[in-house]
Amino acid sequence: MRRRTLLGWGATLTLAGSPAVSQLADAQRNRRLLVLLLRGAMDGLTALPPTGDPQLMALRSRLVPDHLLRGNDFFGVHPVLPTFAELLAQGQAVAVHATGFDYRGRSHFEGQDLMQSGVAKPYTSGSGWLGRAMDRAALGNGVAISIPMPLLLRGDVGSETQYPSWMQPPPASTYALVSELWQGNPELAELGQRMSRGRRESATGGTMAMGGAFEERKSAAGLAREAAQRMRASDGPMVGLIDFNGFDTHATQGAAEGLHATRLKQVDEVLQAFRAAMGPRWQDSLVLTITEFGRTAAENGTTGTDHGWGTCILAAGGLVQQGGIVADWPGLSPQKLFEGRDLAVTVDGAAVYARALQSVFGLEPAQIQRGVLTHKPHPLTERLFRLA
Amino acid sequence: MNTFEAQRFTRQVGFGLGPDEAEPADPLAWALAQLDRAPPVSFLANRQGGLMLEVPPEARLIHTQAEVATAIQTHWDADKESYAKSRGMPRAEWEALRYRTVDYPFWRLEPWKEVLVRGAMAVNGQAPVFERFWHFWTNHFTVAPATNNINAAIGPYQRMLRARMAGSFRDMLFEAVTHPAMVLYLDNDRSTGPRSKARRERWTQDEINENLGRELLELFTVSPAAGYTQADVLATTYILTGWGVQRPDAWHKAGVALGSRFNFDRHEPGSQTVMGKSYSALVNNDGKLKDLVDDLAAHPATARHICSKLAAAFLADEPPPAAVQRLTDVFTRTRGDLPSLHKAVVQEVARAGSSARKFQNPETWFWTLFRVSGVPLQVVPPQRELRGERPHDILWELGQPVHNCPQPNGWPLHSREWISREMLDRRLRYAYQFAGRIPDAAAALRRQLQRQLGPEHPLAQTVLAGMAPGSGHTVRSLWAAFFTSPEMLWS
Repeated sequence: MRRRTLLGWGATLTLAGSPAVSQLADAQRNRRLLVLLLRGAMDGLTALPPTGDPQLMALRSRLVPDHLLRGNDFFGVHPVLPTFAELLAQGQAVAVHATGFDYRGRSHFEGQDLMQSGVAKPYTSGSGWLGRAMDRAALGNGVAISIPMPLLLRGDVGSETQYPSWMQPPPASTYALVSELWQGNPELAELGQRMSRGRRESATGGTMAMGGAFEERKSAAGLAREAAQRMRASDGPMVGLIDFNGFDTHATQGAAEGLHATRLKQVDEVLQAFRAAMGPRWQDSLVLTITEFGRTAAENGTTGTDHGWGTCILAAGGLVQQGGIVADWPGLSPQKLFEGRDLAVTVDGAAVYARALQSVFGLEPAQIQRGVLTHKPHPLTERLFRLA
Repeated sequence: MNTFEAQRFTRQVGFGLGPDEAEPADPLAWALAQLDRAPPVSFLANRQGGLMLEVPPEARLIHTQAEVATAIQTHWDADKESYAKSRGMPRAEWEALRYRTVDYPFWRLEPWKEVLVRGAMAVNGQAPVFERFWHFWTNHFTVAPATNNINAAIGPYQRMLRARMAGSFRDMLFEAVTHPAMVLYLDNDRSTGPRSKARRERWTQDEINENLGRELLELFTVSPAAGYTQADVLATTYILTGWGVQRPDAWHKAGVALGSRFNFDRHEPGSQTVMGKSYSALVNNDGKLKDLVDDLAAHPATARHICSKLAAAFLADEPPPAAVQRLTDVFTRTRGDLPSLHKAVVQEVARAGSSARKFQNPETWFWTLFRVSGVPLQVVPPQRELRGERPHDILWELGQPVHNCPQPNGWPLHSREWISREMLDRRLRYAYQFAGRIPDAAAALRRQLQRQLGPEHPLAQTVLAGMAPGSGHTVRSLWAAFFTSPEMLWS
């Protein structure tokens, strides 16, 4: 049973259950979206360095790898992203550069709140734009491969969390007892039932011994497979989420190797593992990165970068309509940099995500604008992802 | 307070009472008496002051400034040396060397001993209320092992905060911001002013790094609510240039420099303006930071930020504005005197009665299980093969590895960050594992229900009914259900 929150007339429409609506919903129901939260501010100029910009090497010569993979005539692709580069060549990946949320405060924590809540003011929303989208579309349910429930998926009561653990679960009867004791508690009742159901459905509760295999399950590829295992089922969750930290490389960021490269590599490992594990459903899937903002265009005094603004969004999967690296490139000359230091944002990142919501959930732009994710539409986002 | 309210109060501001602890006649006075001085940290094995004898000798705690500097240097040297020796060495041999010289002493032993001693103080200490505030401050001024290997500095840093809890917020702030652990964690170590001597004479190409400057304003003091700008962040960063780690090399060993952490050669000279006020060094070059810290600590936005956080940690996710205001008044009136502030928080909890309701984060809940049940904290040595039985590993699985906070804003205070299926499933798994260690479990559970809830309480009745023969429940299962009941998850 799916308990719904009341979000105004948009939600009540879904209860009408007209056959036309549900047929459309069935086709839509096959689509899948995996989001990768890249916390700490992913450096778009490291992931996809604009080698065609004459200022790049002057600003950050020590941060640009020597041997880049091919993106297009203007942008290279970081060598730790071979899967992404391969998908780009096949037209199954797209990146938007010089993009980001309309937030210029350079605080990680405000930025990470806003990238998930999708509202104008930090710490003012208890739900995330993706959770609201699922709720509004009456489609989906998400699975966060995470211990806490990320803000991004809140707002959809059907979303779940799961993460590999070595802890042995108690017998099913203990779960049943706890579930019963939680009945009267509004914050726990639903979770107790789900825990109990989850325990009945798996003999081991999904645990395994600690050691190498356990560590492997917690690697980026392992987490991607965990997500795919749930999402590839025809009645599986439409949305998956994996949460990564550590992109905040103020010092010794590195170029081809190093701190930022190690983090970026995880994105590629996810793409590779997820594509393989999704099988044919990859054709109906989209993987999307989300980060709070970019990093300064110039390297700082400790061969790292400080908090900036514009960055890039990476997307891959069968739902990509037209592959490639797109940007309304603002340039890296001092007068073009935002406040003289950051890559400027020329395409609203929220518009990119709104387009993804259109593709995955079949939501209309007006529905998205009204209470899901406010955004400034941009022509460059119109051919990013396939609509139904 | 009736007896059940008193029990609950000890869980709200501490970790509950052990089976051997009498209920205080005046719980508020009991709590207030714990906040004036910092009890020394040791591996307490019981509430009589006995020590955990199984703690290996190499787990000695680091305290002094010189020891901190030496520990950091030793860590760096060991790390570097293991790579230098790797050339030509068979992989297995290199891994063994690496384990012996780096992984074991710094990545396993350090968090193992720090989490264990933290637990020992929470479970067996005489001042559990003080420990709860210590946990608050180690979280407010979060430092975690970062890319530059500072594991060895975290424990001493946290014990420095502890000692400062008997003084003013200003002094704690200054020590936190300039401590080697913080300076390394937020990358201030090499931050160098563009007009500094080191740059003018071209000893280095290092420039500024904003990380610490930004967090000093955003997280530690005024918060973005104060409306500062990028220019203020930059000026703060300039004021912080030169505050780095003193290496315990021969030059410093010979002199008195070890205690000082300010290196004028990297410092940006001249005046800086932060939030409309100009800071210049008239007498001492390190004076600008001292003046700035004075002003930030006295700023009304700081008082409000700190008091909102304290109220959110102890009273409610959305604390009543009147309570936050009263705390803010105390902060302002006493100029940030921490014992006064901590006492005011405890008084607010007592005053709020049943309306104060906080979901216990994994750590508080975890130590509470030990304290209220009397199950001894086990000393499981930090070797590789025994992972999974140590508090450090269990807290990791429960979602709060206290020594490894993912971001500088610390662990969240709001309950929604701690309530998810996976989070609660893990609490239940652990509660069941833990319940297997309770001696004479049936009698102990009856006593516990009597003490915490009373026989009339619906939860007590359900659990007692489950203990009747033929109910189909095991005592272990009932214990797990009790530990994960709303009554024990919320304080």
